[in-house]
Amino acid sequence: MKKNILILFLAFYSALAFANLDWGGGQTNFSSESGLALDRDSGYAVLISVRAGQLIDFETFVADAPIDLVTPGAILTEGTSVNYVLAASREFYSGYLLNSAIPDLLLDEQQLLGIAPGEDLYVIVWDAHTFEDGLPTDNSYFTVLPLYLEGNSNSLQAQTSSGAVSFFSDLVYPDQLLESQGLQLLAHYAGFNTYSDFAAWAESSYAIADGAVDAVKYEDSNGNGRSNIEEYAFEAPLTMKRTYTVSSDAAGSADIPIPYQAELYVKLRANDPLLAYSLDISSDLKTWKSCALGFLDNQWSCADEAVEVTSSVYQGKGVWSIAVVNNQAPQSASFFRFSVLGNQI
Amino acid sequence: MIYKITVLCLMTLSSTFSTQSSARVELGRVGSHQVRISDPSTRSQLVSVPFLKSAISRGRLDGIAGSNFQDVQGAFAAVDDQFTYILRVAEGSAAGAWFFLGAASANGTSVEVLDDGFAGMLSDLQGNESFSVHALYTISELFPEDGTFLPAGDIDFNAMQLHFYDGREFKEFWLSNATITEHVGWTTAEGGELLYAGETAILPRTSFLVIDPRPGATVNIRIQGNILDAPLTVPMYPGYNFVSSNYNKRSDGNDVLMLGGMGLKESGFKPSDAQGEGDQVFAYNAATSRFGESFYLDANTGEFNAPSDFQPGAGFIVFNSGEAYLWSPVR
Repeated sequence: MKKNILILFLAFYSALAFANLDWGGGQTNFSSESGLALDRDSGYAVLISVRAGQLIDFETFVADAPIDLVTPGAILTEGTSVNYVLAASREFYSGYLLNSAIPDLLLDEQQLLGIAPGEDLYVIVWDAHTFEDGLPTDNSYFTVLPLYLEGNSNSLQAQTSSGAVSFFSDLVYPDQLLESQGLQLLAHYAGFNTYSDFAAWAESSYAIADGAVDAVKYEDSNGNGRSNIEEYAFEAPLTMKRTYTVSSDAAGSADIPIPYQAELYVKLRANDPLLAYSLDISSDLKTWKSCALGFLDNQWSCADEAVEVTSSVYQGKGVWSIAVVNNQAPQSASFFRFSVLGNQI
Repeated sequence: MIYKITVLCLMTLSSTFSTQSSARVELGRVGSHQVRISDPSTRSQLVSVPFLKSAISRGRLDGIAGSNFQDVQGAFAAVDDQFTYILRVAEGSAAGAWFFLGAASANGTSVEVLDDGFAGMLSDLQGNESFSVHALYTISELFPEDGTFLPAGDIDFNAMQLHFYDGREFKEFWLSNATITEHVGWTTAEGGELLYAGETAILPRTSFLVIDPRPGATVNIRIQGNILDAPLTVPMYPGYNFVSSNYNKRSDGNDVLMLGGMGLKESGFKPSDAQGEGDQVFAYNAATSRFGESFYLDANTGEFNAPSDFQPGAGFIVFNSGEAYLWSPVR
């Protein structure tokens, strides 16, 4: 039996500090690009805070040096967005990034890093087996997840500490309902075909010159039944996680019949400020009630009280996956239609 | 005076301590205390171990040689360096001081002292003090780890957890069901591995957090141990110290568990003119998992600003704004 008292000797270690962030992966299980559960060799987690602007789109972002992406203390800037790398950890066990194994990020450490209160927190999980020389490259895989206080995604996103100083830690981790879904979130760092405006996308995809962009918005250049603007605005193909008949029209919208309270999943683009999405509801496919889908503080929402956006998960490449439930009274039929307001582009 | 302890819901028993033949056999008392570790209304509890284990040997020192205690009757023969033992000074001006013990000589007449100064100073001893030797409770002894009584889980969040403050952050232990570990039982991360930690010793008079992942669970554990002649000394380091009361035979009088009667102010707790300016005592608010009510020693009156008591089995936090000192509860 091994004597194990040294750790408790530390119970009275003299350092004076105020612990603040107990961060980790919560109940989410992460796997590598090859599908294997991340471990200490293959996993590398980075805690990020957003000092200014938005979370940088790490699929298109080019850091000054690759080491900045994974080095605590690095400041990442893209346009008006400023993100801080607060901490890094390899404490992955069978795919779990254990909060209890990661040293807390203490308030004094945050102060040394120059962190201000109220910065939104994210975790980036890298597949370190796709690193080269220990650093991310254009072929490295990762996923980005927002962190919540005690994993409660119904609350506001977790932030760096504000208010009264306390040495008790804030427990932050991804949405507690996000269990093994994290496996599907690995994205390709600095991948191709990542655009935040339609014109560049159209030119890259179909060699359509700027001057012709407006003319081809509603054309189906690849003949797959979906307009160009629809392909750009909704990550193709438009998906549902339940098996229902999906039909789409050619006017930049998609009609999707679903039963009462079915949960509909759709992937939207949040990195193009010119895109505006609308969610329409109908019981007869004749009359439609419309509400705009809003994106604020990394959450999607709908102004219609009968419609609830039950989850907003960043998928990378500027794309978010959202789940929507229609809570209105049961009807014989209920239909959703997601539209992109292409005339703003 | 022992009968007053029964008022504190303490069940007192008498027992004869079984000791080796060369050591002094002494009649002592043991107690039993029920500690609530899970409560349906709160996520966490701040608890402590209100006793020491019964002594494995007692005696009177026959000298101190360097950093070794001497006992010609071989009182240290039962000390096994695979476990954690302390020697408690039972009487004299250093009563309550205690020392970690290392390896003992083969005949038990000498034992090494580890970490002198932690809760007592060798230089303060005369070398002829009476003493008792105690093994410390381990985590697995107090918190069953087979997963039937307390919840074991695949990962930390789904399992019973113990959090010990290490002076800078909380060291966390969780009860693994062997899904991601190679063992069932108490687990902690150390050096990139998830290690079995059931043998981790719990220091006397520390307090620690117990977290039950099950909403609405109620769990009580019963702890038995030795009622000491005198209270144990508690090291108070700069910063926050998670501490507790424990039972002793001096636990008489109405104010012994009151903040003003614990000997804090006589030991080095610094007075201040207002809340938040210097040393403080914090209760734990289990509902918020944060500090609860706080207290300071009023420099004008020499008393704490408000009355409060802290029962054995519970815990509280002392903030030391200055140099380290030893809290000797009764001087």
